[in-house]
Amino acid sequence: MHLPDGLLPFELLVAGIGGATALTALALARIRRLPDPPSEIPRAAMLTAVFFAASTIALPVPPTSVHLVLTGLLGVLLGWFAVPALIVGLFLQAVLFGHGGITTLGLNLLILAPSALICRFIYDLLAPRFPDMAAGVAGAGGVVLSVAAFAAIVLLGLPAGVSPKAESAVLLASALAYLPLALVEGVVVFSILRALRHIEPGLLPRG
Amino acid sequence: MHQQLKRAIAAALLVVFSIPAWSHGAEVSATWTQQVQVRAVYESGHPMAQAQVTIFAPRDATQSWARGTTDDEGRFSFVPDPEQPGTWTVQVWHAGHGARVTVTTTPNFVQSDHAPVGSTTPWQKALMTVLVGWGALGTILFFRRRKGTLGASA
Repeated sequence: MHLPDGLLPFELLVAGIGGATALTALALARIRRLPDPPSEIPRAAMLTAVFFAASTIALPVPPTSVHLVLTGLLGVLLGWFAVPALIVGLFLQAVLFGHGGITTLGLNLLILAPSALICRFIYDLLAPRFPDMAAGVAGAGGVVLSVAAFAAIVLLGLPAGVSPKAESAVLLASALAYLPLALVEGVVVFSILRALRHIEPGLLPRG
Repeated sequence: MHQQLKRAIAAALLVVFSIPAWSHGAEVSATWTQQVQVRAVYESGHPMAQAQVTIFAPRDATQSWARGTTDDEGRFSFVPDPEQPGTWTVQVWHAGHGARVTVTTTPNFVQSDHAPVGSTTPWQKALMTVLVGWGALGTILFFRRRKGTLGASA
């Protein structure tokens, strides 16, 4: 679920870089307002590595395979720190694995980062009363929102010569393949937060 | 009279047996050409089945020269216009994933190129993942130690 280099319209790439710059500036401003930003960096570094490594794990969903997304997990555990964590993770994935691209870094950030932030918002709303459900919904929601954002951006800027009608049908089928992954990530986030609550409550999201 | 009867029968047979030849008329010609064969796969090795293929001719890199779809094995082939020698661009796109590749043709030969998809081996990937993990661990330890040092000095 990463847009590659060299195919998308120039205007869309510029818009992606502009949007990503604005989002990063907003995230850094919000991080600066935290009581002790450096204390959050170890957790951000750990989850950046997890996000980076997750892209190498493909789950078979016949007839294709899907990769772990983990935006829900990053959003819930990192909050605004998810934005710089995703930038670093996406950059390393593009440079080392060829997943995504450098010119599409902005667009790929806009696919994943808003999903992570919305998941954190949903988690904060639900967690006080239903912590387990909040974790599951945030985990699954991260995949659903990321897939929706990916499809929307793809349809906004199709490469020259690509039929929008055929691509829409293919994207819909592809999105359905991600539904099992949404369930998996819901269970993953639910399990991780439940385990943290018992083992290391200090790593739980802070408001 | 006997000779005339023979000629009439021969003429009738000629007409009768000629009819199938008329009704199934076919024209076959054979021409030697060079065609470009495209094979598109995902990094996982799965073929990009039913992907949209767009061909751009050397004279116009913005308007598609031909379009089509790959088969179930991710294959597509086309015959470049011999009147347009130069660099042909082949674009393959499927569900937000794709790549472009160029093929250079001259009147005498075709020189192909390939998009380096999946150029890393699983071992290289594992090594890079471990190295990034090591970098993250270093970052974690650095900031934890820094915090501890600051706490001690305070």
